[in-house]
Amino acid sequence: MTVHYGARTRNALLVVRATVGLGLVLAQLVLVLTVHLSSCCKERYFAWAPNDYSVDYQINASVNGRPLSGSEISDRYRLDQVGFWEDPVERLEGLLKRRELTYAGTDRVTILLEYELNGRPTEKWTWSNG
Amino acid sequence: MDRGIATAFQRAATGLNPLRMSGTTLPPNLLMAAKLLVLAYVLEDQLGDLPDGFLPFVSYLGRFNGSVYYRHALQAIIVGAALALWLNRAVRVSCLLIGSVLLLAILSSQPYYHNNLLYIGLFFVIAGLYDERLGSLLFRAQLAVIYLGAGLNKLLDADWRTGAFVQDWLRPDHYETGYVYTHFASLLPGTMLSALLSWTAILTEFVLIPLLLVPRFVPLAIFVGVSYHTGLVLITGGSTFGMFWYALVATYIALLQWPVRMVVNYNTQDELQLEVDKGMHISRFTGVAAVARILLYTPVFYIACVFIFTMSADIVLVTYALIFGIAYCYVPRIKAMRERLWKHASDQKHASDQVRV
Repeated sequence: MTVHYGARTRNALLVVRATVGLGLVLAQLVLVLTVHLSSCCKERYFAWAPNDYSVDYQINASVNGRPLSGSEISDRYRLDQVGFWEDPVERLEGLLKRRELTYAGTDRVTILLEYELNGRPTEKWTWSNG
Repeated sequence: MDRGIATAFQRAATGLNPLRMSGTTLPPNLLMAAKLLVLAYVLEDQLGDLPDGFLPFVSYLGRFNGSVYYRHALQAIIVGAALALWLNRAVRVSCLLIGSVLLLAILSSQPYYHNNLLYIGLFFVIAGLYDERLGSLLFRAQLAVIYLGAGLNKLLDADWRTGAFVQDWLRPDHYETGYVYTHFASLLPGTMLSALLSWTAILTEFVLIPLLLVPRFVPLAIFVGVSYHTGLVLITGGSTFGMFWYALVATYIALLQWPVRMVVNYNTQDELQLEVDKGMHISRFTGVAAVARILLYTPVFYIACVFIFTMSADIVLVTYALIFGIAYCYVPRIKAMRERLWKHASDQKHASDQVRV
């Protein structure tokens, strides 16, 4: 069923739709230009950089000195312990770090991320809160 | 009076027909695209992956961390809105609800963030914001921004420019087609094939921007865009990059100029003939071109495709066959154009030779 609006209402609806829609698109344009043309925001959220990275990774972590198993790592970070990641490696690092900063509480956590980016030699990233 | 009530019921029942794409506030192809995309979303089991509030972008949503009720609420809203959409009830509101919930889900959990899921959310929000005076502008602008971001990211990455990314990305342990790709890549020196593919991707994405933003080039943008993304599915042995292929193809469907009327009959040579009336002009097609367009403008074909594709059958074969069938009718036109240009050039040369004499 379609409702028929008067001209003023239709014009008002057009303004609202155009403002919201173009606003969304323009906001993305600003983010895209900012992220890609500056050195900020290496994690590239909301900047349309999809599947542009080939990252083979492995996560190892220990909590209070005890190494975590693969399934524990998956539950803790909602990521596979060993996997293929097609987004910026900085995003992976950021997820691991922010998970611990948000939820670690008094646990002493050490994370080791080993990865190969685009076929380059293996690199390591470590993080610890104590 | 009774006949009036019966007619009203009949009209209401017809309106509830999920295969009906007209008679709502959205144009038929946009409504169809939205229905197809939400169907694909459900059939690809994406509902089960909706998050709770684990590690949110917006800290307030963190209170829903571990909450199955939050997850179920998101699922219920999407399912309810999807049903309303398929039954042609409040289609704009349904689209806005689906899109808003998907964007909320992304804001709820950083590990849940994927570009393909973000785009589906934006697709439904933009569909809900449709206004006939804006036409397809918002969709075209959205796609242009996506291609700008993706193109810039690739262009500014040295591993993309040299082909190192593609060479590693298409390894056999990443995609099964890697076995075939590695063989072909070894026929050329170094990473030449990978660099060629990289630059093809970069140039395609940048070329699509003006094609989308200039209205008269939109049909070409649809052809290039669908071919490009289906090519990625081919090269990776069937990967749709989550929901990306579905969402992008749905968008291109929404950009189609949908006919107001189609007439199918047989001409005097017993050939299948299709007359397509798009309001501003009427086009006639026969044979393969006619069959391809009948499929192109038939919702049931797309619905069948969604079921087939989500059961892992051949996206590439069906999509390229349809593109070929549609493009087929342009072959005689291109030949005729070429002959006209050749004749024109030949006439001009003849005229200038006569002047010299």
